[in-house]
Amino acid sequence: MKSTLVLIVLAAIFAIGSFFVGTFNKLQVMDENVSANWAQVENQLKRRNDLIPNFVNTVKGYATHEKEVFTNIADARAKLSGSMNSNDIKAVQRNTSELNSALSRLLAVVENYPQLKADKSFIALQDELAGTENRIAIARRDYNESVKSINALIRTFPTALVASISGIKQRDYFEITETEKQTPKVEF
Amino acid sequence: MKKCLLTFFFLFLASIQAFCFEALNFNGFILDEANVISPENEIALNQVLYELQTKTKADVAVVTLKTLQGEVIEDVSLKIARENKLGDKKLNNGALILVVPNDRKARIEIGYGLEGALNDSKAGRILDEYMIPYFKEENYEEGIIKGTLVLASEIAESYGVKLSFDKPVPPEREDNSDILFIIILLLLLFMGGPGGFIFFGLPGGFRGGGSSGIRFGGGGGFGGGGASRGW
Repeated sequence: MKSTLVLIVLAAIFAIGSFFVGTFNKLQVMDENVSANWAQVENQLKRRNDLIPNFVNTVKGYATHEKEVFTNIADARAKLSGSMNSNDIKAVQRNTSELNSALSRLLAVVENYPQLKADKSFIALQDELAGTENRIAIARRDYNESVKSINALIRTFPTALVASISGIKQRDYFEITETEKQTPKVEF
Repeated sequence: MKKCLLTFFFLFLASIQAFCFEALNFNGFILDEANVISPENEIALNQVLYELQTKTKADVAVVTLKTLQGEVIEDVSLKIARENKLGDKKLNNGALILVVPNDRKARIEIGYGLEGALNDSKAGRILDEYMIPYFKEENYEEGIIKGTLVLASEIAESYGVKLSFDKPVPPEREDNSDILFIIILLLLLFMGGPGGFIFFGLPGGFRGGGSSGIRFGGGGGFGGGGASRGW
């Protein structure tokens, strides 16, 4: 009689233990996945940052009187790369939307220069910029989806227990601000 | 009565299957929902793309849609590319040409593995030089054929492989090579004719629609590379 009890207790411990290990491993993989997706977001933001000087210089060749727009972009760009270096997600978000609005003002300026719009190298750069914007949007969406799935697991029982013991925390979404939703995309 | 029910059941099953096919009916590499590519050219294009796949493992899919249903073309093309698992899983070398004549929108979507060879500006140039001029005249078939052939030869070039046709030239400078292009197409057509496939051992089923022996690579990564145009 006693030995059956011991067996049952052992089986229960084993079941709980294997559940714990399984969930722990799953959460680790998902957490890593979120980090990888965030790296992809930063990667694409950086790619755009690298593209901007070329793009701005091409526009400068035609639109010489738009100094303010250019300085705004340069400032926002510098701020964004600063916040990316310090790994501060909230600051990256804030500075990204700042840069987005500076860029959309530049694109509005471009509309006034038909010669610029016909320039072959400008068209090529604009394609690269539009492609990068699209990549950022997709990287952001993929990141948010992975955040959503890990957060949902962490919030629900019994995974919540494993998460709190192993110290895995909920992750932040990369949100889009209201103004950004209205920003015109780079389009032809 | 029982028999009747059974027949009904099977008919029902058949109709379900027919519906599924209609939802995603790739004929080889091509899904021509807008119905702008003639059956002969579909065969010819499939042969080109099959040759590309066997030589480089790269998948190029050609899709025309009746409508985007209010969605952004970038989202639609990414969805199609990811869901149909274009491109080799390790090489990530899928690409997609999406044309929506009614919405006057087109996009070339490029997988991770091909972004080096085909950057966004190159994709934009293919659209500008080879496709949009025809689309403006509502000659969608010609634009799609030219665009596909150029895309395929660019990819082949990046792998250091030669395909059995020459890269087309943009419409403005086309005077003498137009004939060559027609010859190549005719050649491809004849090879696909009743005489059998001389050069490429093609899996059957290109003509009938429905399931063909062609399989996409298994899901290469797509991150939003490529270019879009309206006209």
